[in-house]
Amino acid sequence: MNTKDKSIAEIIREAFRGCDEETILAVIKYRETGEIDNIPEIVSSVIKRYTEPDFRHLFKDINKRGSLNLREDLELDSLTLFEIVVALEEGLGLNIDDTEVHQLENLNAVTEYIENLLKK
Amino acid sequence: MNSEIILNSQDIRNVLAQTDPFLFVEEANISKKFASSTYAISGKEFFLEGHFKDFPIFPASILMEAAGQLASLHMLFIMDYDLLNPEKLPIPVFSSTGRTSCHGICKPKDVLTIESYFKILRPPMASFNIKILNEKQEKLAYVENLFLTAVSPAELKSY
Repeated sequence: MNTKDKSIAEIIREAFRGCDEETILAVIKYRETGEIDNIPEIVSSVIKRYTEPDFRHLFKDINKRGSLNLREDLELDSLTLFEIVVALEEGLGLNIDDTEVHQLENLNAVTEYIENLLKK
Repeated sequence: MNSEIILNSQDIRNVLAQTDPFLFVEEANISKKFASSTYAISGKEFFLEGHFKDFPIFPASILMEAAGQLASLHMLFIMDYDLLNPEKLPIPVFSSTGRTSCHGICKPKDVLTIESYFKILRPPMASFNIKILNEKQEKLAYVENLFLTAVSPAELKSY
C-alpha cells in the first residue's frame, strides 16, 4: 500500500505502532484540531516505545520524566533517535531537522522543540 | 538519477555485498518509490537441510534477508549511485524493523515476489515497507519500517 492510499489515522497507527491506544488517539486528535496540549505525553510515549524494556520504568515518575537524558539515562543511540524522528514526523506531519534533534539532551528539550515547530 | 533501472543477477552480484549462497534476489526492477524482485526457491539451499529436518520450509529469517537485500538495492538507487557501473558503494546494513509478520509457508519450487515501497531517506539511513508474495499473489510476509544504514566497507571491516 502506498502512503498516498492511506488515511491519516492509518499513517498515525503505523508510525506509532507499539505506543498505547491513548497516545494514538491523542495524535489523531492533534491532527484533527491542532491542539498541542498532549504533545508532552505523545513525545514521551514515542520515546518510551523506542527505549529498551529495561529502562521503561524510568518513565513512571512524571516529575522526573522530563529530565531523563536521552543518551545517558535511556541509552538511545543515534540510529534509534533517527527512528524516533521519523515516527514523530510521520505521526505529527512535521519536517524535523534531525541534526538539531541529535543536539537535544532530554525529554523536556525534545518536547519543547516539537511544540515550537508545531506553533510555527 | 534514472527514473527506473532493471538489474540482472550479475548486476546484483556487482552491487550487493552479499553473494552466493546467501543471495536472495535474482532480477530487480527499481524506481524511486517502488522496487520489485523475484527469488525461485530451488530446494538446494543449504539451510533447507536443517529447516526443517524431513520437511524443508523457507525460513522466515531468510525472508527478512531477501527483504533487506532488495531494500539495499532500492536504497543505493535512491542515494543516486550508478548501479550499472558500481564504484565505491557503501554497504546497507540492517538497523531495525517496526513490525514483521508472516502469513504463509514457502516451499521448494515456490517463486517469491519481493516488493519494496520507499518511505524515507535521511543519509546514512533509509526506511522501506516490504511485501513478499507467492505466485498466487498471496501475501507471505510483510516487513514494516525496515531501516537500513549505509556503512562504508572500511568502517565495517574496522569493527
